[in-house]
Amino acid sequence: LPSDSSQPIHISADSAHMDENSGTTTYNGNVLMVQGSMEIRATNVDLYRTNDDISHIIATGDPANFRQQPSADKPITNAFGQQLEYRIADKTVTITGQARVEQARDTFSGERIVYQMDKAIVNAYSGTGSSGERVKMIIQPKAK
Amino acid sequence: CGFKLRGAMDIPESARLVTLVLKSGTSLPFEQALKRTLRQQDITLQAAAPYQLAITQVLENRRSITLDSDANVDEYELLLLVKFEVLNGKGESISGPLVARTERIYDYNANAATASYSLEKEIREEMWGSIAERIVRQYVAQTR
Amino acid sequence: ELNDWDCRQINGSWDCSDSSKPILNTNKDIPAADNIQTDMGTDAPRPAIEAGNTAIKPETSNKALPTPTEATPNDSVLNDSALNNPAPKASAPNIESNSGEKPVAKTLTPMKPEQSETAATDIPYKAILPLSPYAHLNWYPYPKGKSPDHCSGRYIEPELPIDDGTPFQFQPIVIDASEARTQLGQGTELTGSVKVVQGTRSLYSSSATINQETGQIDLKGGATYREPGLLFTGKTAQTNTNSKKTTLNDAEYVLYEKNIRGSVAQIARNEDATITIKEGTYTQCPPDTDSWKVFAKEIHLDQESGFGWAKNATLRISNIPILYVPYFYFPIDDRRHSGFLYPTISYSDTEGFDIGTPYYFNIAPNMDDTLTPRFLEKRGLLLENEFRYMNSHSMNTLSTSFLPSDSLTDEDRWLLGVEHTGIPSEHWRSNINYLQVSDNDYFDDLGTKLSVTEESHLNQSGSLTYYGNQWQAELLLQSYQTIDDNTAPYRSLPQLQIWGNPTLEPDWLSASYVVSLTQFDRDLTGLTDDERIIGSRFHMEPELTASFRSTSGYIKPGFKLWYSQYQLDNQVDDLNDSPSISVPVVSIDSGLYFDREFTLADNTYQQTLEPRLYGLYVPYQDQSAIPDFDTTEYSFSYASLFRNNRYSGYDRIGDTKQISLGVTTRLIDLKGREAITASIGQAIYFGDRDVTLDSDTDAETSDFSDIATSVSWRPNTRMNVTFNANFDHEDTRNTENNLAVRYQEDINRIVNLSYRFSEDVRDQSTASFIWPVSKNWSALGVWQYDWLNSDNLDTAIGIEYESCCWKTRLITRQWLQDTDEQDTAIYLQFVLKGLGSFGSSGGSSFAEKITGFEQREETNDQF
Repeated sequence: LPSDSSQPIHISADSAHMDENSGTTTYNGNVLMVQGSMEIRATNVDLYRTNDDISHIIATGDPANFRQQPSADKPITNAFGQQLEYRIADKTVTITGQARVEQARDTFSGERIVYQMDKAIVNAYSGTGSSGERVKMIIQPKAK
Repeated sequence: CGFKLRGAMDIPESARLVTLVLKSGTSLPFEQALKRTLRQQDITLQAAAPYQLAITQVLENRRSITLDSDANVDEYELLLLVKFEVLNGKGESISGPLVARTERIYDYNANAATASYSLEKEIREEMWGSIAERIVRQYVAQTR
Repeated sequence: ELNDWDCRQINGSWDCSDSSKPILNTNKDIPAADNIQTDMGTDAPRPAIEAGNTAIKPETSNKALPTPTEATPNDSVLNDSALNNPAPKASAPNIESNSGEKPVAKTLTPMKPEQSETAATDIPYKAILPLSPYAHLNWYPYPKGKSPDHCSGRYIEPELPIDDGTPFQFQPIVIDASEARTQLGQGTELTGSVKVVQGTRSLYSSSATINQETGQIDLKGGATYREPGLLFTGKTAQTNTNSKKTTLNDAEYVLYEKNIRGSVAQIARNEDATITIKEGTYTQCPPDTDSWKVFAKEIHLDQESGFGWAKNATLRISNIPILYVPYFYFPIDDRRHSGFLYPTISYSDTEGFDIGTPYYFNIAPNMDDTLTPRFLEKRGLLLENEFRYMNSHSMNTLSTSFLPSDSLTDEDRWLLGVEHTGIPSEHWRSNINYLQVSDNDYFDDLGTKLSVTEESHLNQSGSLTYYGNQWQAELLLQSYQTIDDNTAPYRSLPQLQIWGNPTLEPDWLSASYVVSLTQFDRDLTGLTDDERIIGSRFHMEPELTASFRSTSGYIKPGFKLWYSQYQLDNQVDDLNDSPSISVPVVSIDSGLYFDREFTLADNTYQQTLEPRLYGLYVPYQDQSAIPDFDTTEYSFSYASLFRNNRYSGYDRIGDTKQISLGVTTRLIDLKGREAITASIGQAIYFGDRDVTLDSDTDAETSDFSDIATSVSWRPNTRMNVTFNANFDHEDTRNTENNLAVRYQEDINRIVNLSYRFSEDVRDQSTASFIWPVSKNWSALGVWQYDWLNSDNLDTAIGIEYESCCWKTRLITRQWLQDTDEQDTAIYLQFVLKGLGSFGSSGGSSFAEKITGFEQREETNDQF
C-alpha cells in the first residue's frame, strides 16, 4: 500500500549477524521480512544502512519472493527471482535471475525486471546478446 | 505354339466379394451393366467386402466425327470414359486412379432420324457392356 | 541498431522468435529509425498505391450452380440387397450440366483421404529457403528450370500454432519482446522485436502498446499480422484481444491458398472473417510479375462464400488501365459458382461483330439466371436468358432467346429450350430435353454452339422411367423439329417399353424380354407413298438363353421369339394395313479360351486366343408390308457378325441361315489392361437373305460375308490406336478401313488423327493437336478434309500463351457451314486466372474435336 514505506520493518530468520564497519546486517535461513503489506521471503537477506537508515535490501533465494498490494483497489503484485534488490528511497525492487512477476492473472518474465512500488509499474528487460532471456508476458483473457 | 486351354480363372477368393461405390447421379444403365458383368465373373456385391470398386467419374459425349458435303453429320462418335479406383476394405486406394475409355462410331441418317436414334440407344447399351468388362478385368488384375 | 529474428526451421518452414541470425534482405532503401529486418516482415517499403504489385483472383468466373448438398463420395454403397433394388438412394444430383459454354460443376470429392501435401513439404527438410526479394511475403522462387507450372515461384507459409479449437476470446495472449513496461490497470508498452500471439493469430512489430482493460493493441514501426492462410504486413496495426478485428495501414497482404495479394492503404480482418480493403489492389500474379491487377477504392473479400466485390475498380494490364467498372463482383476461389461473366466478342464475315455481355443473377444457392444481351452488328439485339433451378431431386434449365425483327430477315427469331433430369423417387427417373426455334436457320445465323448447327433435327423428348427389381419400364414422348430440308422423322407419341431379365431357378438359364407399344406419326407434307405410312406398333421379344460357361470356354444356345403387330394408316394400297409377324430366332454362340505367356520387348503379357463360332437361324417371313419406322441396317463390322439381327430397331428381323467364325487375340498386361486386341471374322451363309429395308433393294445372295478385321493397340496409357478394315469376300478388295490414333500426355499435349474410308461412301480425315511450343507458348489446330468431295470441312490454327496468372488464346477458323458455304471467324480470348475470361474460346465444340469431350482441362477451364 502507499503507506507501506512508513511502516516499521519486521524481519524473522534462522540466524542473523551484523557487520559493524560496513553497517550491513545479514539474515539467512527462511528469512521473512514484512513492512506493511509488503513481504519478502528469501533464504538470505542483506540489509544495507547508510548513516543508520536502511538504504537498500538484497534478498536471494531459490527463488526469493516479493509480494505487495500497491493500493487497496489493485491486485497483489507477486515477484520471484534469484535476487531481489529493494531500494527504499527509489521505492523500486529490481529482480534478476529468472525474474518473474505476477499481477492479477498476467505474468511477466525476463532477464531483469524493475518494479516501481508507488506507481505499480513493472519494467521488464531482456538480456543482451543472443543468450539473454527475452521478456515474456502472458495476459489471461478477460473472458466476459 | 504354346497355347493351352485356359485353366482355372485365377480370381483370388477375396476378390470374389466387392463393394460397389457409386456417386449419386451415376448413370443407371452403366451401373446395371457393371453389376451384370460382375455377376458373370461370379463376383458378388457385398456391403463390407475386402475390396471396394469406386467409380469416381463417368463422362459421356457424342460428337460428330465425319460431315457430309452440306456440313451435316455423317457419322457420330459416342465416347465413354470412366474414372475408377480399387480400394481395400478400409477405403484406402490400392490401385491409384484408373481410367477405362471406349468409343463407337455409327452412321447418322438425317432422313431416318428415328432409326438413328434407336441405333444410338442400342450402341450405347453395347458400350456400357464393353466398358464394364474392361473395368472388371482391371479390378481382377489389381486384386491378383 | 538492427534487432533481428532468430529463426528455427521446422520441416522446411520457419518459426521466428527473436535475436541474431540476419536473413539477407536486399531491401536497399532502409528508412531511418530502428528497422526490423526479419524474414517475417521487412519494414514495409512505402507501398506506393500505384506501383504496388497486387492480385485479385476468383478462379474461373464461369457459371454453375453450387451443389446445395455436398455429394459424398460413397453415398450409395451397394450391397447384395441392392441387387434386387438397382436404383441407388435418391440424393441431390450433382449439377452435371455439360451444356455448351458453361463447364460442368464438378465438385469431384476425392475417393480416398486427401494426402495433405502442403507446399512446405516439397522442399527437402533441411534446405535453407532460397534468397528472395519477396521473402517478406513468404514468396520464394523455384530453382532455375525446376518450376512445375508456369509460375516462377511459390508462397511458403511458415508454421503456425495449431488451432485447438478453443474460442478466440478464451485464448491467452503470449507476448515476447526485448523490453516491456506495464502500468497495472493501464497498459503495457513493448519495444524491440515484439511478438504477440493469441490462439492461431500472431502479430510482430518493433513496438506495441497493449491496454489490458480494453484489450486494445496498437503496433507500430512495421507490423505483420498472420493467421492460417493469410499475411498482412504493413506500417502500423490495431487489433483487440477480445475481438478478431485487426486493421493494418500502408500494408501488403497475401492469401496463400489462392496466391491472392495486393498492396493497400488500409486492410482490415473483420470479426466475421471477411477482409475489407480501402484503396488497394488485388491480383493473383506472383510478386515478380505485374501482368494484371485490379485497383479499387474499396475491395471486400469473403473467403467463406468465396466471393469478392470491388467498388470503383480499374483493371490494369501490365499497369495500363484498360477497364473501369463502378461495381465488380467476382468469385475468389475454385468453387464453381457464379460471378460477373465477361463480355464475349467475336467477329465473322457473315455476321459481323457479335458482342455479348452476360449478367448473372445468383438468386439462391440452388437457383440462378443468366441474361445475355447480344449485340449483333447486322441483325440487332438478341436477348438470351437461361434460368436454372435445382433441388434435391431434380435439375432444371429453361433457356429462352428473343430477337425482335431481325434486320436481315425482318422476322422475329426466338428459341425455347427445356432440360430436366430428375429422381422423383427412389425407383423413378424423369427426363425432359426439348428445343424449339423460330426458323430453320436460327442456329446457322445466331447459334454460338457449333455442334448444334450440324444437326438437322432438334430433339424434343420427355420420358419417365421406372427401375424395378430386374425390370424397367419407360414411357417416352419423342418428337423433333426439323431445321434442314430432310424428311421429317417419325415421332413416337407415346412409346411404352418394358424390358427385363429375371433370374431363373437353374442359374445356367437366363431370360430377357422386351415389350414395346408405340404410336408413330409424322409431318406428312411433301412425302409420298410408303413415307406417308403412320400407325401403331406392338412388338415383343421374349428370349431364353442357356449359358454353359467354364473357364476354358462357353456354349450359349438361345431362342427368341420376334413378334410384332401393326395398325397402319396411309398403307400403300395393295398391302395389309394390320400386318403381323412372328419369327423364331435360334442362335448358338460358343467360344474357347486359350492362353499362353508371351513376352514382347521384355515385358510379359498373358496372350489369349479366343476362337468363336456363332450359328444363327432366322426363317424368312415376308415383311414388305411392314413400314420402316425406326429401323436401319447396322454397318458391317466384326461386331455385326455376332448380332442376332442385322437391323437395329423393331421393324425388321433379318432372315438368315449363317455361321459366323471369328478369332480374337488379346495381349493383357499385368495390370489387366489390353495392350493389343486383334480380331478377324467372316460369316458363311447357307441361303439368301431376302428381307430388305425397302422393296427396291434386292436380296443378298453371296455365300460369304466380307472379311471384317479390327485391331486396337494401347502401348501405354498415353497412346491409343484403333484400326478396323473390311475386305470384299470375292476379291479381298479393301472396302472399308478406319484408323484412329490418339496420343495424350496431359491436357496440354494431345495429338489426334482419324481417317475414315468406305468405298464410294466416305473418305475423310481429321487431324487435331495441341502441343507446347515453348514454356509458355502452345500451338493448337484442327484440320478436317473430305477427300471424296475434296472439301475443307474445318480448318483452324491457334496459339495460346499461358503465364502464371493469365492466359490468352487466338484462334482463326474456317469451316463449312452449308453446302459449299464457308464461314471464317477469329476468336480472341483473355483468361485472367482467377478473374475469369474475356472473349470467346471458339466454342466448346472446338475442344471436342481435340479431346473428345467438351472440357479440355480437368479444372474445367473453358477451352
